[in-house]
Amino acid sequence: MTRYEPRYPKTGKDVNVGPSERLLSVLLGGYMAARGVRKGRLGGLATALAGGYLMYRGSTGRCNLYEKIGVSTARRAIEIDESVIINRPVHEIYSYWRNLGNIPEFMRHIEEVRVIDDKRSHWVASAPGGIKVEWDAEITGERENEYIAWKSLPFSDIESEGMVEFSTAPGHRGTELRVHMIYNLPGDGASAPVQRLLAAISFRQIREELRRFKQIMETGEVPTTEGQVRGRAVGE
Amino acid sequence: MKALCWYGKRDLRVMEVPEPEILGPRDAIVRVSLSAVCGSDLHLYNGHVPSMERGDILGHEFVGTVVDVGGRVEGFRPGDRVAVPFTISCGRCFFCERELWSLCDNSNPNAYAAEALYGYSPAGIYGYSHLFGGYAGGQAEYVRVPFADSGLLKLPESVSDEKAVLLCDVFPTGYMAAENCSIQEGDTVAVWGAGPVGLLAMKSASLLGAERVIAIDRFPERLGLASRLADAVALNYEDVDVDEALRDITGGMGPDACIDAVGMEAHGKGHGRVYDAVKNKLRAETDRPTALRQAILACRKGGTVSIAGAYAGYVDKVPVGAAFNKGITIKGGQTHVQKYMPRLLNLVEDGKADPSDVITHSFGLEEGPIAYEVFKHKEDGCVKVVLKP
Ligand SMILES: [Zn+2]
Ligand SMILES: [Zn+2]
Repeated sequence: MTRYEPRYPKTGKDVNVGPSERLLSVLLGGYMAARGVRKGRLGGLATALAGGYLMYRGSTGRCNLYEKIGVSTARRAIEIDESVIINRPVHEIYSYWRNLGNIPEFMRHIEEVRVIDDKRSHWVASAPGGIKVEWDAEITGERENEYIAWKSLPFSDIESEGMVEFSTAPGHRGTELRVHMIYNLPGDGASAPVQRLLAAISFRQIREELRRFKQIMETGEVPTTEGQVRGRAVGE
Repeated sequence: MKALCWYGKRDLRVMEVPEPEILGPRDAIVRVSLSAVCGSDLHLYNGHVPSMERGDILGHEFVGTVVDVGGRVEGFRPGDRVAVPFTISCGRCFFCERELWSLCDNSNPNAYAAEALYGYSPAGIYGYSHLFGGYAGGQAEYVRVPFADSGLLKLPESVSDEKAVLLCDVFPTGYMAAENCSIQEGDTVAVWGAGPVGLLAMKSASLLGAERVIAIDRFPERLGLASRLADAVALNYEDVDVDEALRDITGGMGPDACIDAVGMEAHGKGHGRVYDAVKNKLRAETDRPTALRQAILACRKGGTVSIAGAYAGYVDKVPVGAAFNKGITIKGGQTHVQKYMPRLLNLVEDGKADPSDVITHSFGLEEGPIAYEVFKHKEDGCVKVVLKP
């Protein structure tokens, strides 16, 4: 018998709810918040998702959505473990990712990855407010078509490490990709940019980034409606 | 260009908006020559589908001519006359490869929102709220078609716009609803709702070998149409007890298959109707499953209930005990339009089916708001409305 064990804890020890509930609340909350911020208007959507949210609340007996979002954004370290199945062979997925310079194509919080040599790279993440957080990273382990692991070098703005694993998914479904990333504060003092960056990274964001990666690999583009026409009266 | 835009519950406006542009390498721009109003557009109109925004361009059934293509479009060129399936599908994911086009993994840019509601996101749909991608729809002069190579069907000259526009949604939807019934030679199929999808489901059921088709509705004109176009036995649920009548017609056995072509805005009758109205008001239930409940209860033992009507959220008091103890198969889903379009186009070309006889009304695009009102209230025997830009 194979027992399922989560590979890495998805939740910090200060959070006492299960991962799926948390994910749901973050998805919902993230969406609501994003709309609220973008449109400055939450009413329509809040109504819209009321059905789903009520069911969520009904089934868990909880109503602490905002509190949880607060928890997830105020944490002092971000640890993420997500997986996705991509309908392409492992070697394609591996080689695209191994060229770390491709990463900003689908990770929007990473502005640039400059490859220095076979092992080392320079990473630039952008935090809200146009502030940049930079670090040098080194590949600490890799096996072709299996995994790539990296870690930030000393004296970086932030401690970051990550590992991405590749495996052939059962049932001719292509590649199963697992990403594990950690952002830690170096020492005790955190600069404002780093705090902002940490506050801006969420589960939802990483899931969306993996979704974009899948879209690029499967379809060659990131489907979008940004910039499409819509009926707005002039000046509205 | 002119476009029909949603501005709120029962508030549509014809607006002057910029023409759409190519946004992705696999996009095409289509000049619309005819669009149609779908029963599920009425759910948007009546404010039942969440995440609509002011200014959204409506419409997911349209035909026209390609005027521009992106750099990676291979099969289409400006000048091609095309029908556009309402499901936006990438053609490359697990689901598209298995012809489950309406479940495409990659075409919904707001997948995270749909995931919050449904667990996993279905495909994007034109003009069908931001939960389904927020794509601009085709009740306009021009429309952007993403993934053109897996989202366009070339039309032969011999097939008119009126016939072709029904290939974008309602004919495939009716056909899939009937196919989901696994019809055996000689079966009796009961269809709730004699709207366009219901009528085409009835025709399709006959095409697939059903011996008897029963239409259930409350509008005499629609029931008349069902008898005329699909040779259906007509039941008006305002006049007869549907369950009793179905038993009577089928020698006490019940229909072999039941199609719910009504969906979330069923009117219904009696206690169930009041119950749903109250629950809707309290937001504890988003849809009204009257037809679904009746279909499950009426279906014969071991039969199939096929759902073609659109549901958006949660429903209550669905007789699961009946479904379980009678061994009923329940099937449904948004239509995998691309799967059915070519074969239905063949039927139309060969003169074996003419879906366009469900079209009763034609309006100019600028009369869109009136068209929706007429369609909503089924005034003047209205069954299916088309809009000419
Ligand atoms: Zn439709
Ligand atoms: Zn797809």
